[in-house]
Amino acid sequence: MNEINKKTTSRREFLQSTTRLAAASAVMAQVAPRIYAASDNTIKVAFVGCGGRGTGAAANAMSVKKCPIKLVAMADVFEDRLKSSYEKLKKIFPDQVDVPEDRKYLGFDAYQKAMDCLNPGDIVILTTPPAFRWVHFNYAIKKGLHVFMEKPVTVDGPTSRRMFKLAQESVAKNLKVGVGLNSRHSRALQELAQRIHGGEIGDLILQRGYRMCGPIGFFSSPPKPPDISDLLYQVRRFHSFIWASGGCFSDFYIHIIDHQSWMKNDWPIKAQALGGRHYKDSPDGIPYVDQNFDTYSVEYTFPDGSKFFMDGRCMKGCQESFCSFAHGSKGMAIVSKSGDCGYPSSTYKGQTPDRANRIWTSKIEPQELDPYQNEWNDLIDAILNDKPYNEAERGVRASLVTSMGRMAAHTGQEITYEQILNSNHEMAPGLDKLTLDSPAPLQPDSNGRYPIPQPGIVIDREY
Amino acid sequence: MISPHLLGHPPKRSFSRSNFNVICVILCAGFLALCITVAKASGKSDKKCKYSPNYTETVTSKSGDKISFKMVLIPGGKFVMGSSNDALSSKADEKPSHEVSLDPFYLCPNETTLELFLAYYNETVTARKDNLDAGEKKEEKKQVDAVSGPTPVYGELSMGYGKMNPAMGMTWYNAVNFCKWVSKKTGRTYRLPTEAEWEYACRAGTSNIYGYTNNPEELKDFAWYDDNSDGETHQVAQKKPNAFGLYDMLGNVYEWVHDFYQPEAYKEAAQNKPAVNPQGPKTGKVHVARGGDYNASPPDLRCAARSFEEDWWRSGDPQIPKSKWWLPNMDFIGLRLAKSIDPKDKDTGYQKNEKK
Repeated sequence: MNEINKKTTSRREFLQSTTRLAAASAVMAQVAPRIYAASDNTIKVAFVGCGGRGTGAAANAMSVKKCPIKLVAMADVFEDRLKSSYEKLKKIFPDQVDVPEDRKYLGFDAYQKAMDCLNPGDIVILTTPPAFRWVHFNYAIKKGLHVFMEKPVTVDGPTSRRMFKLAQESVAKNLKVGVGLNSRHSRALQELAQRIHGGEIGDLILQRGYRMCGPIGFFSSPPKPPDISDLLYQVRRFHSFIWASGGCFSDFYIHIIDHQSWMKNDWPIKAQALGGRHYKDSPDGIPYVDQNFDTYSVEYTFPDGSKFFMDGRCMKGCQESFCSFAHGSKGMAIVSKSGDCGYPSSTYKGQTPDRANRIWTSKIEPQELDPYQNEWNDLIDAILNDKPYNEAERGVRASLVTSMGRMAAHTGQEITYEQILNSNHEMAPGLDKLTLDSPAPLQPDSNGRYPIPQPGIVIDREY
Repeated sequence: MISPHLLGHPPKRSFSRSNFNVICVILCAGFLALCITVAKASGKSDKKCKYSPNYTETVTSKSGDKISFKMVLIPGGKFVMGSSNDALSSKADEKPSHEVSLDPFYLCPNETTLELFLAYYNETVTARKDNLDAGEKKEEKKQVDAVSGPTPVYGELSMGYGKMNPAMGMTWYNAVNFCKWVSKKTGRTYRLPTEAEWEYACRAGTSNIYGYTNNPEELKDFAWYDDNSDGETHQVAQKKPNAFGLYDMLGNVYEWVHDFYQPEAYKEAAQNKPAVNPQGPKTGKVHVARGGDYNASPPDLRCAARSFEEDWWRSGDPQIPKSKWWLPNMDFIGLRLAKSIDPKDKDTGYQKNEKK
């Protein structure tokens, strides 16, 4: 199961080895042929995972104005999802959506058939639940495809190790890889990062992130109805199941964890955390069977000892807060005013965001306001002009430190980066061999309840 | 001809004494001019001028909080809507300028606050998705009678603003649904103003470029905009009101109005002379939003300037289909409540005045 390294790799060793490999990859990249396929200048796109965000990403892809882009194949395990996604896209982009019935693929192997419709240098969009990312990314690299993949890209240690390796392979093949951590493509946060790294608010000594809102998406799930298998129920309602999505924690909180690490210009090395399940019945008294806690509070520690607190709560009726702050030795910054990376970002003298103390506030032109579109414009630009562009390794790192905080809450233990990286708990092994008849990675008990985290009782894995 | 009641009881407001006097004179002059206009237009303005100049509406939230807002009477009358051919900074969709005649109506003197909108959200928000999903169909059937409620917002509804800042980030559809909720709570039928009503209220009996004034230097006294907003919305009703007693008609947040947006709409409207209570085009893709926002520069703050929902207003929503309820993180678009005169409404000034 743990095919890469059983011995403990220290963080320093790990960084050294990845840096070496990255350097080697960079040299190879120079000699690798520029991969940009179609002779008629059209980039073909295949789309794996046709949910709401995936459909949004496909729309962003077809909205790039730099060259002709066509959607030629789609894949999902749910026919209704694929159908509805196709209809929505066809309506908005009638000339760019060219997906006849025989290029709509269903099932757990549909991703291969969709990618087989492309040539090297075309693009595949990977927007299934993150559990499948390594399976799909591996195939995309084999086919020589550029990739856009949604976040998170891993949910546990073993798949992160696998994805680090795949990230290096994709760099070596000069593939351009975008990861949907769209904070990185917010023009406001880009300028803020420059200002913070340039010392505008001094050394960062404390960072705070909040996503405390009402429940959203598939945060909670009622018992499985009889007309769907456990496997498909868990894939469909992926936010409810840790193996599929990393749970609400990974899916909801990764953006702020990622952009705070960026502001710090480093990654957290350990985490301790609180969390619990408080309301776990529906308003009608039906017990929810998902694995999520409804509150989390994580203290992340950076290598220099400074702390970053990430608070998450999914409860209706409580005071809501969805924003992030960075405090430095000379001042503070509002990183995201509202949302994953909401405008405007701003910096202040002192530790109170008073208007009188304001040093800078971001101003963005409307055409660059949408980070979801920016990340696609940037990716296509890199492909057309063969610029270095590969966000995979960073995406894995962000996913892994996010999982580190989640594991700390779920086990009630301090979790270090090495521990989560080298953890042997692969939550859903064998996903590359999955069929519709495979047993679900999470098995219910006789009452239809799935195992949940038990801090202090189950401490070496999350459930 | 002019109701002594109306002139004798100017609306109560809390601003400084000197301001009060100035506004009082302007208000009276405004009503006088408009009532005369109505008299000429209809020949039976006596009754219309008897409507109470304002009243206070109170909504009781689910948690028992009482939230009040005022409504002021906007006297009916005729005005010239849009921009003349040579008007400074004018755009094609504001032409031709044309005569419009309106019945009196009530308009809220301030933009709808977050406080009231949060009460609506907390009372009606529902976890069900627009597209029903496995295991959720049973929950759907229970809420047949209630005003339908929005899905949970992607993000946080207040966007960090205080409760007296304007509500924002709702789609036109959600703004209309909010009006239905207020109507159900109060028993009086609230709605969005029409585009013509909005412009008439903004002009407030003047033909000035900015309603209050022709001088862009003076905008800072009336509006939060590019020059003074610091890039964010401000609490409602902090600047001076216009001659009708309306705050923040320009700047702060755009305000949804009833009408669909069509660039050619005025050509159609101008064929009727005057256009009587126009409702805008019958169909369209997006709706009109008026008044400019905290980021607007003076040309966008002209009474005649028309804005409408643009594609990027939905860019905070990463999914397709896009939410029909929310424009996540768009803190510049809000609304203002309007109400038609309706003799059936209970407890408004209308009935009280009629009894006298």
